[in-house]
Amino acid sequence: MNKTLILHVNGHDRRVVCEEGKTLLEVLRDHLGLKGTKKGCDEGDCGACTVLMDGQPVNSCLVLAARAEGHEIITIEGLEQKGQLHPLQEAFVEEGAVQCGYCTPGMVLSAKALLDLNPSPDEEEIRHALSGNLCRCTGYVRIVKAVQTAAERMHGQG
Amino acid sequence: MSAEMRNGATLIRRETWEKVTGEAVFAADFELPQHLEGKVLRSPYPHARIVRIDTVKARQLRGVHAVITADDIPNVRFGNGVADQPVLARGRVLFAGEKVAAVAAVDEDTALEALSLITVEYEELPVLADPLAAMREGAQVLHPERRNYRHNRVLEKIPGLEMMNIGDHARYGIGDVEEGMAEANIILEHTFRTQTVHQGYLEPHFTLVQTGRDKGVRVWTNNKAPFQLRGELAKVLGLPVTDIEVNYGFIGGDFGGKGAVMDEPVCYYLSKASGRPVQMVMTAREELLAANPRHATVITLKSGLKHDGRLLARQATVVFESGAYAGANSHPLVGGLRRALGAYRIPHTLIDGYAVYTNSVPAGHCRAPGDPQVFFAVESHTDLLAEAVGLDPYEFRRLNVLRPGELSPSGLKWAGINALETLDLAVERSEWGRTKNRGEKEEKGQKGQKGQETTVPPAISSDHREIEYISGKNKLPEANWKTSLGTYQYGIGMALTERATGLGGSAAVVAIHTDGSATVISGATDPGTGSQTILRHIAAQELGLPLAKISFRGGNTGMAPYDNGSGSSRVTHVTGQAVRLAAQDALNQVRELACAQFGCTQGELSYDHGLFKSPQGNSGTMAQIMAGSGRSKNIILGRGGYAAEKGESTCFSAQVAEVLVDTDTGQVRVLRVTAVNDIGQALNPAAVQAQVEGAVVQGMGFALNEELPRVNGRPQVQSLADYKMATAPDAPSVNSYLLEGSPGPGPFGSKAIGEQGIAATAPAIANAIYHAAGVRIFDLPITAEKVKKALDEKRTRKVGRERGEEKGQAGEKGQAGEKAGDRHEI
Repeated sequence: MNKTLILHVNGHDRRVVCEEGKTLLEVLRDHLGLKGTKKGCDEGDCGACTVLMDGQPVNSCLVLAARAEGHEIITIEGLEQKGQLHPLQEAFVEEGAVQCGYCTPGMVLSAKALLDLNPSPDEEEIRHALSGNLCRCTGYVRIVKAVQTAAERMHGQG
Repeated sequence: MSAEMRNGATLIRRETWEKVTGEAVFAADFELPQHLEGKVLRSPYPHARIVRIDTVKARQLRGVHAVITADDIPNVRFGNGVADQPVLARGRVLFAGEKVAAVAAVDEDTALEALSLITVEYEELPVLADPLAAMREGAQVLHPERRNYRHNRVLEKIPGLEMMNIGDHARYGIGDVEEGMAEANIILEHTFRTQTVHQGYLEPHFTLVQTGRDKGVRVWTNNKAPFQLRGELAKVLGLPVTDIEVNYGFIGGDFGGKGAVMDEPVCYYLSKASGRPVQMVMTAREELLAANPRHATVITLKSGLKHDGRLLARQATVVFESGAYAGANSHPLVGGLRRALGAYRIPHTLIDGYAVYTNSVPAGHCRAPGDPQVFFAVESHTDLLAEAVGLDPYEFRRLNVLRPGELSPSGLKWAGINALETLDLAVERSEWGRTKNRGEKEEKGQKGQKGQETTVPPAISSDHREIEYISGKNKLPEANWKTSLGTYQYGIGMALTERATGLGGSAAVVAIHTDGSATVISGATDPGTGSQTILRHIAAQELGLPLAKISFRGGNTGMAPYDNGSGSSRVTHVTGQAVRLAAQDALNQVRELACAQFGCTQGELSYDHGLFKSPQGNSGTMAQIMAGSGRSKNIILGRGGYAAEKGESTCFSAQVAEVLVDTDTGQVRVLRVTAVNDIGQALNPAAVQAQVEGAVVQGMGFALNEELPRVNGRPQVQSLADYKMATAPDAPSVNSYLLEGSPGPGPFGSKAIGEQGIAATAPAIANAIYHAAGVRIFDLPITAEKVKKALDEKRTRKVGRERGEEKGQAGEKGQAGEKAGDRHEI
């Protein structure tokens, strides 16, 4: 049975007609065309589909789209502000923290949730905050560096 | 080569901007209107006869467009080295997870419902779960019809094997191993086992196939070797290659797991049956159950030494468990076999290699196929040998390591052997070199190590250059590592490995545009390694243009020229050389234009820093020459083709791992890995080191946590939650050093890195665990349970294990080795 949902995604209200029981991941990718959110394990184990819901990282494959109504959703496409990439996005590129890129959107969003809450995390805090996002390519070395670099830059600005 | 290249400037990977914004297109991001969702029914049994399949109800379900079984499709088999795998099981299933039937429906839910309506009657058959049992004469034969398989090089080679489960066999070596053993004072033999592990890419296999009366076959996939896929599909489907077009985007991780045929044939037949495009995405469970993971192995090494520690002879017996089918491999015996002798000078050697069919998941390529397995064995064995002759592991390796001009133990002659420098640098840059006396920390005492001075390595020689990248975590726990840790024991271990630069063939085109910019057109995929950037960089260097002026195009086999595929550590070397030649050809054509404009000869024309100059005083940039040449002349397409069939150099790697072992629980924590790679010339140092960092953590997973266990052929891990890949808090610090100076066959003297960083990690960790806790684990993964059990046994017995026998007792296995050899997979 179809259902109409109003989702607040990346600062806009989006009206979606979808079957009941669709996950937020499916709606973001298939109905809203936000393909930057990646489908990995589809079981909440890998973190590739991470988006922010009211600032908290969630596995969008485990969230029913209907449950996302009334909450603020940020996907990787929503990080850019007025043509300016988020410092995390810049740092990920500059530090070489991106290889295959499949974990990257989720990783960047988990890192954003951390820095929004804790602007100067230490390395253990960074690693802990990223523990729900698997990455096979990097060994996490440059991802951690990128988060540190972004934190320093954001701190400098603030 | 420009000065800029020598400086090893870090190149920003342009395509990573797309990946941080979500714009990058991966296979699953393609869309085709009217496509159906495909799903397959898989066998729950590792070995069974299919008595009957009833698909009537599934076919009647609303929304179902096609249901197929083996009876609905031609009797074809696919595979790379040997075409042994059916598209859908025909009469018999050989592993739990094998495809039995397939459906295509309007959506995923309908497809899954249709699968639930298919009934299959099986008659279970005895399971061949252990490769050693499977290779015995008299064991039931899993592939009695082998003779009919396409391009079965194996049976042509060895006629007697057709009624056995040995899929391939090789035997080679140098000198006379019996003579070498006879001259030895000490002979030691150990048996090691390694487990099945998944490659761990996050992006699941994706396939979308469109068929049509006139359009031929169009495939969208995340296969990393699209031209090989096209060739294999042409053979399986009986079509000309030009009728098949393979499209690809970025690949969300590969590590070897995305180079084989996967769901393309079944999607093709579903598309044929339904008349619609059919898409299939493997679930995480299917990935763990039925992709092509790393081969499990049983490896027995026997070495003969002189009293002073010099190696005289080594015999290696390596059994690779192919699983039900070997078709995912270019050869059933993967390349790591040759390296089962190590990177040492050994005058008498013999390798016996077997690839054996069993009722388990078909094994395939996984980052450095075979290497992590054989080097876990070789480098654990090396430490055991060192201990037996009373030498420090570093000293023992220095004594025996291959030196320039010497023949490799498998009989290869390499140019520029850099093994000693690689080993020395790993010691010098790690805690091993800093403490100088590894034995100091032991309180309980360990045979053969206590109080020994470690040889202090010489400083790095002046013709070599090193590039360092230190990960930040070093500063955190170091001060406390060796004190106040209660039950924790600190240990340090090393390993030395080698892996050649990859071979293969590639063609490339470099187009120069009217504005003086250029495009590299290549069929090489980018599974995350940065191949696009490195190929652009090589073209930029040859063309004398800034990197920003070079773009990259590929994406489809109908347009891009042939490439062997991004694997086997070949892209920088093979595709890189093709691009270099294409860029040279293109530049030469622009030079011709410049000569015509300036009225000078090629010999008179100079080109430097982007400027063409004639002796007469004319000059012009690439853009000016192109713009000034008129429409009929300024179409420049440079062509390059390159094939490498024989390797003349290899890449050495050395790693030092530091661990803490909790002697109460057996839990192992890897603190830091210092990795040195002999790289020839690093074209993009940051990207090279990033490969090492990822490989080390993957290698740590292989060493400690990752496993796809089976009980009598039945898979026990079916979700990523149970497959324990390292998370960020689990990962150690990785300090990576690149050793330049011994040129390789790639552009500008480069070697390779994609696979070279992984093999040393597991043995370095195993050796560190032994150093920390005095227990030697012979079978991977080294779980806390195994360490704990070994510690308990050690405490109970309170006797050191005797592994060395004086000459005369040769061939008798050490205690622990026997145990490992007898162990069955659980």
